Amino acid sequence: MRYQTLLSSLFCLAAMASAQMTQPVKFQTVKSVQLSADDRIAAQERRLKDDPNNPEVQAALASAFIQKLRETTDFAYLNRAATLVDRILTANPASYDGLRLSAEIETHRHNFPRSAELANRLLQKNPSDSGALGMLGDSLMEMGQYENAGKIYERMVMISPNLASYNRLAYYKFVTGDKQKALDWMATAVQAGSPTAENLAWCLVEFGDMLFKTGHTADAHIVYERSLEALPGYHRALAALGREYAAEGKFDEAQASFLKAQTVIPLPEYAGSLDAIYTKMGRSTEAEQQRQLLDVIEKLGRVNGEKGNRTLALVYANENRHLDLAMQQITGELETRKDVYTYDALSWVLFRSGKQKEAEEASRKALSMHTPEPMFLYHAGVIAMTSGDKSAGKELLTQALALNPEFSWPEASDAKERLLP
Amino acid sequence: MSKLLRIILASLGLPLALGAHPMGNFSVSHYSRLHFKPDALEVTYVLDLAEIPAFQLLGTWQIDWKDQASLAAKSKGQAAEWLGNVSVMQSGNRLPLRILSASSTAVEGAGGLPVLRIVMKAEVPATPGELTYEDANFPGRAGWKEIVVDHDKAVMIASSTQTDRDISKALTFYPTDPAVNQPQDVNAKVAWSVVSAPTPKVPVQITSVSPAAPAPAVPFSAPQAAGPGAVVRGDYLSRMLQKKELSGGIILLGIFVAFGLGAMHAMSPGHGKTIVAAYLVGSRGTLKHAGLLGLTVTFTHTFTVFLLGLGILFFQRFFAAERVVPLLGAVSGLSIVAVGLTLLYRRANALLHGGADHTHSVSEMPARRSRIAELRAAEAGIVLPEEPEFVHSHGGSTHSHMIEGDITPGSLIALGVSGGIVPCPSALILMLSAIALGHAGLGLVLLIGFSTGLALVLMVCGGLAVYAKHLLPGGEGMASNPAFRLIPVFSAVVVICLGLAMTGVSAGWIQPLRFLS
Repeated sequence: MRYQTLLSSLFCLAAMASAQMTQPVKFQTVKSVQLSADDRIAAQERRLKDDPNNPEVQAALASAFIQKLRETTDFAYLNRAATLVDRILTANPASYDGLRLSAEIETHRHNFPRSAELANRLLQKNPSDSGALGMLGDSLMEMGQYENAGKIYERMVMISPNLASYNRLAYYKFVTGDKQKALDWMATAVQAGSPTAENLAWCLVEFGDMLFKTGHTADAHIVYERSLEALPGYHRALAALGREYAAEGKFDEAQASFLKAQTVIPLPEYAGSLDAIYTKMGRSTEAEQQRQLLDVIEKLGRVNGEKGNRTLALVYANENRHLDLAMQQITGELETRKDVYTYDALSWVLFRSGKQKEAEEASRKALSMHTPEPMFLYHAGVIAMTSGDKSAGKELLTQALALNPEFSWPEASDAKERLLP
Repeated sequence: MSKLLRIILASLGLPLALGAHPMGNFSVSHYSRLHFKPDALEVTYVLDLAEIPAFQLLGTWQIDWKDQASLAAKSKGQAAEWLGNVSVMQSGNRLPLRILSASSTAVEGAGGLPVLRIVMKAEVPATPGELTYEDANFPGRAGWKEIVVDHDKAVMIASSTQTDRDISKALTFYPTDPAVNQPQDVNAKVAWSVVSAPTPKVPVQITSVSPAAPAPAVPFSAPQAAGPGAVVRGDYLSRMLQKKELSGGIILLGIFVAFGLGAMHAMSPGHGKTIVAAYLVGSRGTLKHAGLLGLTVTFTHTFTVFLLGLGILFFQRFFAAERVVPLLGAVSGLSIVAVGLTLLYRRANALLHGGADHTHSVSEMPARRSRIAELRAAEAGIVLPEEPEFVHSHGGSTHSHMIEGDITPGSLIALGVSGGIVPCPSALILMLSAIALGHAGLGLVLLIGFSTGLALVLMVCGGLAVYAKHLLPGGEGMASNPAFRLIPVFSAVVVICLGLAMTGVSAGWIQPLRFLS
C-alpha cells in the first residue's frame, strides 16, 4: 500500500514537473479536434440501422447521446441513451458497456450513491478502467467524501494521464484548499487538450473560474475567450464572461453576455444574474420578467416532482424571496449531494430564512475544506457578523476580498462596505 | 412522471415537463420545407417553442396566450424578424423572402403553461441553379432541426443535402426511438433545374452536411446524371420537342440524334451487356441470335417506355414512377434468374449425364469437333464426316449430350424482354416530354430511334462475344477438357448471379453506390 502511494505521488510530481517544463506560458496551446456529437450520432445511427441489435453500436450511440446532452443540456438525449442502455442490459445484464453507461447516466441524473455503486462494480471487474475511476471519484466528491475521491483521482492520473484525469485532480485540489496545485493541474489539463471541443471548452471555463476566484482576472478573461474559440456560443463561457463583466462594473457587457447564454439555455443562474443586473440598470420590467422566468422554472420543477435544485435555492436566497421554496429546494438537494457547495447554499438559505444557528453550522461545514471560494467566505462572514462575532466576520470578508477584490457583483461591494469602520 | 425524469430534472437545475414537450421544456424546434417551383422557392418555416421559450416570447409580446387574435397579430409581426434570420443565397446574393402568411397556435403544456407553434410561409423568386439555405434563429438552442426538400413536377432536383423525407410531420410528431435520427439541420444546399414537362418524382439522394467536412453534392438519380446519352433539359431533342412545326429534315435529324444518344447511353454501365455476352458465349450463340436479342430488347424497351409514359401521365395521382421502375427492375432481374436457372439445369444435367455414373465408350460418344477444327478443315478442302447424333436413348430414356447451342426462341425472347423491360430514365423523360408537348407520335418515333441505338450496342456486344468465343484455342483435346466443358455451366451461373444482383439493386437490398463511394 505504501509502495503504491509512493509511486502515485512520484508519478504525479513527475507529470506536474513535465507539464510545467513544457509549458512556459500557461494554456498557450489548446488542442481540440472538432469532433461534434452530431457527427458521432449520425455515424452510429447509420451503423445501428444496419445492425440494430449490436450492443457495441448501441453503446457507441448511447455514449454519443450523452455527449450531446453535455453540449445542449437537452435531456431528451439522456432518455435516448437510457433507452439504449436498457436494451443492452436486457439482452445481457452483465454487459460491461451497459453497466458503464448506466453509471454515467446515473452521474448525470445526480444519483451519486447509485453511480458510485455501479462504478465500484465495474472496478472490481476491471481495476484499471479510468472512466469508472472518474465516475467513482466524481460521486465521492459530490457526496463529500473528499479523501477517498482524491485517492481515486490520483489513481486515474496514473492510469490515464489526460484532460479528464488532470481536471478532476485539479478540482479536488481546489476544493480541498490547495489553490496553486489546482491551477497547475488545470493548466496541465488544458494543455493536454481533447478530441471533443465541448470537453475542452468546459475545462477552460473551469480553469477560468479558478483563476477568477483567486484573483487572476485578466488570465481568466483570456481563458474564457479561449473557451469560446474552442466552442463558439458556449453558454457557460458566455455566462462566465458575464460574471466577470458584472464584477468589473461593466453592466451593459454583462447583460449582453448573460442574455446570449440565456438564448442557448435558460438556466436559473442566468435569470438570477440578469434580474440583478437589470435592477441595477433601472430596467425594472426586464428584471421582473427574469423573476417570472425563475418562477416558471420552479413551477415546472414542482409539476415534474423535482426534489432539489441548489442553484435555484441560492438564487431565491440572493433575491430574498420565496425562501420557503428555497428551503425545499436545498434540503431536497442535500439528500444526494453533501459537498461543500451544497452546505454553502444551505447556509445562505438558512441565513436568509432567519435560522441563524443552523446557518452558522452549515457555514462551518462549507468552510471545512478551506476551499478558496470567495463566496463561501463572504456568506460565512456575513453570517458571523450577524451573529455578533464581528471580528470573525470581518476576517472572513477580508479573506474573500484578498482572493479577489472584485470576486462577485454585488457581493464584493457589500463586503467592502461591511468592512468600513 | 417517471422517476427517471424526476432525477434528470434535478440533475441540471432545470426542470423539464414530461408529456408536455418531448424535446424538453426549454427547447425550440425548427422545421423548414423548401418547395422548389419553376421560378421560385416556397419556404414553409415552423417554430415550436416549448414552455420556457414560449413564456419568454409571450412576456415580450405582453399578451395572454389565450387571446388568439392578439397572438395572430403578434406572430405576423414577429415573422419578419424570424424570417430575417433565414437566408437564401444564390450566386453570392441574398434573395429577398416575401412573407405570404404567418399564424400561431398556443396549447397548454406542463404546469398550465403554453407551448407555441408558429407556422410561416414565404416565397423567394429564384432561378434554376444552386442555392443555399440557412436558418440562424435560436443558435445553439436545443431542439429538433429538420429541413425537407421537395419540388413541383416541373422541377428537377439535381442534388440536395436533404431529402423529401418528413420525419416530424412539420413538428407535429417527434419519434422517441433512439434509432430514429433526430435531425440537427440548419443548412441546406440544393441544385435544381426546370424540366419542360412533368417529370417522375424521384427520391432525392442525401449528401452529408457536416460542417467539418462538407461532402460534395452528387447527382441523385439517372435522369439528372449527364452521363453518356442522357437526355437533359436544353439538349437538341428537348429543344426540338418544343417546336410547334417540324420539317421532315428536322425529324430525320432528331431520329438520328436519338439513335446516337441511345447508342451512347447503352455504353454506360448496365443495360444487360454482360448478361447478353454471358448468355451467348455459353449458348454457342450466333450473330443471328445476337441480332434477334437486340431486336427483342428494342421492341420491349420502346413498348415499356411508351406504356409507362402514358401510364404516368394518366395515373400520376395514384402512383409514382419511382415505385414502378424498381418493380420492373425486380421483375426483369427475376426473369433473368429464371432463364439462368433453366440454362443451369439443362447444362448441369447434360454434364452429369456424361459423368462417372453414366459412361459411354469412345465409339458411342465421340468428342464433338471444335468450330475451329471445322474451319481449318474447310480451308484445307477436307470434307469431314457428318457428326454423330448426340441425342440418343438408354433404356428408353432419351437425352442429349449436346451441351452447347441450347438457344431456343423462348429463352432468347425471355432474355431480350428482361433486358428491355426496365425503361431508361432518359428515354422516359424523352417520351413524357413529347406526350406533354403534344408530340406523342414524334416521341414514339424518337423513342424507337433511341431504343434502336441502344439495341445496336447490345447486338454489337453480343456479336463481339460470339466472335471472341471463336478465338478460344481449339482442338479436340480442348473440347474434351473438363474445364472447357464447364464453361457453359459457369456462364449460366454468371447469368443467375447478374439476375440476382439486378433484383437486389431494384429492390434496394444492394446499394452499388455504397461500394463505389
